[in-house]
Amino acid sequence: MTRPRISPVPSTRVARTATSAFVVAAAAIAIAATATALVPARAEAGPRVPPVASYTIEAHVDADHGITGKETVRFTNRTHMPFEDLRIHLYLNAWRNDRSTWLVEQARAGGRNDRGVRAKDPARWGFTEIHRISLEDGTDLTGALTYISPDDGNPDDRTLVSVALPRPVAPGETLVFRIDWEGRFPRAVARTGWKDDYVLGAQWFPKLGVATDRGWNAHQFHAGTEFFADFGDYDVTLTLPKAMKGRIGATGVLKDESDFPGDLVRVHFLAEDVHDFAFTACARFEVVRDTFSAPGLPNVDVILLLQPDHRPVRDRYLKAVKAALSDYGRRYLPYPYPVVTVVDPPWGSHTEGMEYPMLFVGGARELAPHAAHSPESVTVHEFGHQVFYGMLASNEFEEAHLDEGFNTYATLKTLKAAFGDPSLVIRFFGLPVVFPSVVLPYPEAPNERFHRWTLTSRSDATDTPSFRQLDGAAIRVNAYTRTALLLASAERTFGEAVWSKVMKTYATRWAFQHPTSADFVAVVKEVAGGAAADAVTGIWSTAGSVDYAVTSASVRRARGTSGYIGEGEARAFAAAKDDAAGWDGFAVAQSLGEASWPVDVELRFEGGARVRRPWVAGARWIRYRTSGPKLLAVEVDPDHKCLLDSNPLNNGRLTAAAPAEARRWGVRLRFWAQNALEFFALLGAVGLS
Amino acid sequence: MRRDSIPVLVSRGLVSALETWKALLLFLALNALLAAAFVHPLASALHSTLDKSPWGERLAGGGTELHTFYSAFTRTHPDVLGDVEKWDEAITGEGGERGPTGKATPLTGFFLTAGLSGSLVAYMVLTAFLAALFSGGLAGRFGAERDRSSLAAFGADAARFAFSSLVFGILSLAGILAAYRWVYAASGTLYEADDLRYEWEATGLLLLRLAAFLLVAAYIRLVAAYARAAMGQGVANPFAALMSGIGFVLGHPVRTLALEIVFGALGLVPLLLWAFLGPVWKGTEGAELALVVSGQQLVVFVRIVTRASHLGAASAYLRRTREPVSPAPALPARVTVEPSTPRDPGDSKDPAAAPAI
Repeated sequence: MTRPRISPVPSTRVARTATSAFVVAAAAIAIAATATALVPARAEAGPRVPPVASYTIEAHVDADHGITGKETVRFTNRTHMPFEDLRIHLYLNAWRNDRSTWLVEQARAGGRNDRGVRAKDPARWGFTEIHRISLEDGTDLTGALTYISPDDGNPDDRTLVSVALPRPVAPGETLVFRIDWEGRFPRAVARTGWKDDYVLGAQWFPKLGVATDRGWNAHQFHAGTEFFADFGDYDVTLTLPKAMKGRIGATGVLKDESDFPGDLVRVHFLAEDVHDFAFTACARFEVVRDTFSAPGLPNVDVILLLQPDHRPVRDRYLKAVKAALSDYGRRYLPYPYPVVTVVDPPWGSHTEGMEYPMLFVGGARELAPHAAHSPESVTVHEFGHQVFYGMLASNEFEEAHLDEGFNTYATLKTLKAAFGDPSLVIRFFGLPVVFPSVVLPYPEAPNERFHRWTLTSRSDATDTPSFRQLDGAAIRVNAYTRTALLLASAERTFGEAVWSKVMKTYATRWAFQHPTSADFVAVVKEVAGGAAADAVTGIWSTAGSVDYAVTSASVRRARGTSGYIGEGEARAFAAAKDDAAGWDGFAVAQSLGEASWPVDVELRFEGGARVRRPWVAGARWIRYRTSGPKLLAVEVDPDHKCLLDSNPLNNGRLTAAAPAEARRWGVRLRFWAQNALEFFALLGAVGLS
Repeated sequence: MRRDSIPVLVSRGLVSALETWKALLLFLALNALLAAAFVHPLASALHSTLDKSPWGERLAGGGTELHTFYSAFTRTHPDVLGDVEKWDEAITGEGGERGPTGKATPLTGFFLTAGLSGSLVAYMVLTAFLAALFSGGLAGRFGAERDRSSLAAFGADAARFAFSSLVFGILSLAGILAAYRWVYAASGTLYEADDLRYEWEATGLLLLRLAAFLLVAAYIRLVAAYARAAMGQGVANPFAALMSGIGFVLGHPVRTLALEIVFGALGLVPLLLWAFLGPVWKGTEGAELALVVSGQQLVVFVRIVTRASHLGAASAYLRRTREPVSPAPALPARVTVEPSTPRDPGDSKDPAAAPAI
């Protein structure tokens, strides 16, 4: 057996990586200190993230959605431990057959819609198969390839392989290896695959796991979680059917597009400092180009690949992506790449709403009233992933909330600032009807799912590794809504200025470094203080809900003492009398949930007086007794700062009934019930009335 | 204007219905009672939630609080409203469960939902039953040659035609539900909307399916209506009345459908007017409450009148097409008599005055 050669790669890239650690450290410190000033400059200065996994890929996608490809991977071990094998994701094997972990989890309601996959149609299934893997010197490693299932032990899952190396990759070393592979895209499912003449090529090539100081961090493909990868550069050349010419978008910058023998088109893309590569093509795409420009932020070319039937929302897409570029750029990190590609997928593609570096997929309806904020909401959200998924690049397998939750919080802030609150829109048989009087407030309305989940499941805390949580509902709730509400509550509780600083510090300090929840909490503690850090960890570490309630509130006329007064001869019996001058008030507030949040309790009195007291930390209940003016109401969290409270309706209590509102609704409801019943009469008798 | 033109029939139907105002007021009272009973659990839950809560004041202020209240109320009182999503699916045509094959399974669990959503199904059946029952009384009134506008006569007719009318009602109800299941819902399982190339294709197919269902449902109800009209005009055998209704609707498919549409629109107008222009009671002033409730009852009453008017119009239409045609004046018979034996000319002065063999 030939001894493999593992050596620093002789290229300019190596020259950069071989530069002393001082340069890297200096760059990191500089980013942390002055990101706002640096990042625009960085966009002009070129790559600065030390690449760990860089790919040179040549692939052909045929008209039947088959893929044949060759890739050369340069893996630089920037950890402190040697690696004896390689861990490589083969994500498309999630749809190889119905025994895959993805489809098993999906079948038990663990994940996304799989309507695209049909058992009897082979064209709807997908796969990836490595034909040969070898080192740069030609050493064949194919025989050392083993499918592994570290997460669930599923022997039928083929989404992760281990390839034993002849010799470990030492810290600081670079290993170059080559993979020849074949694959097939499924009918679009979980945001990858084809539909008619459209293809979204995502998770499509054999991809290295993440090298950490604790070894490989590489998981099987799960139905409820997404991805994690190391940064690097991508040099990708694709050939596709010629019908796609001029209508191909991808991660990176298009360097060349030319005809290729065999009625094909050849495109060449380059991307630097990214951790994935996706592409899309559709013969129907209309290519719209625009430029984002704002003071203090780098210019960005915006490419919108639009479906022709969505022309009416073209400008809304562009407005939304520019609003996001501006708002995210100021609040978190300026977008550092020269171009962003927005993909408008066709109807029924199941690829709506997905993010990849420098490219994301939106989603629009043909009839799209402005009040619905669609496609604005999905556009802002998916762009927002460029920050939390793209640049911060946390581990979505294990801590999905650091991307989805943070981005949901950020999305709703941007949407509210740029477009206000949406109104209720109901589609009656496909035709949208707007109810302008019913406002769906950000951020509460989109996060309603969390509260419903806490009533029925509470299966997992957020800090449970995402892929290990019970089901898709638990993952989504923890990843998206609980964290989004947590951050919004923190902003209201600890002050917008403080919380903005927290978010900005976290983003700039940890850009391109795969931060964890602990890293974020450390920033919270540093910027907002220990109480804020405790509040955040308290929510993340419990599966339970926050629920404060005022369980009783009453008043009575103040009375003098009843019984014996005085001692000895002075002892006298006194009968209580109502004291017209004052009132006694009694109230009990309780914490009914398992989790807590720093809240205030307000007591309101006749005459307008209000008294606020903070909730006593750790208390399950607090009893209040007042004297003096008449107590009118007691309310926990009167300013509704804690959006995590699962039942805000029990937060307050009046001492005297005020039935007017219930009566008003009763009259309305009876009337509409009368009309509903009159409508039903048509089933038994005549008249459409 | 023709006696069976749409405006004439609509007018005739409205006049006929208004002549039965006592019975229609009875309908209104029953409708109000049923609605009050139906809403009671929800109204009680609202009182228990709002009466001693600061949320009452907040809701009165409007704004974004309504959504927050609604979402919190529905999730904290899941037993009150029940599975509202089932009704959402039925009303909006969106969503819907899918079976193991990926095909839609509409109406799955629809009749087994809890809370108000479930009881609405029971109230739906009860209302349809009562409407069917009382339609017999209306049919008797509209088909009578003499005045039968008293409540006693109405009750007698309702009882007399109860069996037939209920049969028609059951057939109508079953037919409409079957049409929903097999015309609208089942047709949705024949294709996968996501596999269509454009959204407008999916929306168009959805609307076509809906239109097909509504058309079939309309004709089912028209058959029931004209069967009742025939019954009221003396066709005692329910089967014969049903056949008469089917025959009549098949013979006049356009005009009967036009009447259905006109009365449907007439019934919706007052509701839409109230929805957009109706006053809102603030929950405090008694005089305002009386005004608002009176207005609401007027709207419902007008809708009941239009429903009854349709039967009145159907009865008038049926009668007018059955009225015998006036006999044309008889032509004088001309008879030429050529006897082989000449008769005495004085036997007949006018040979045409009396026919002869």
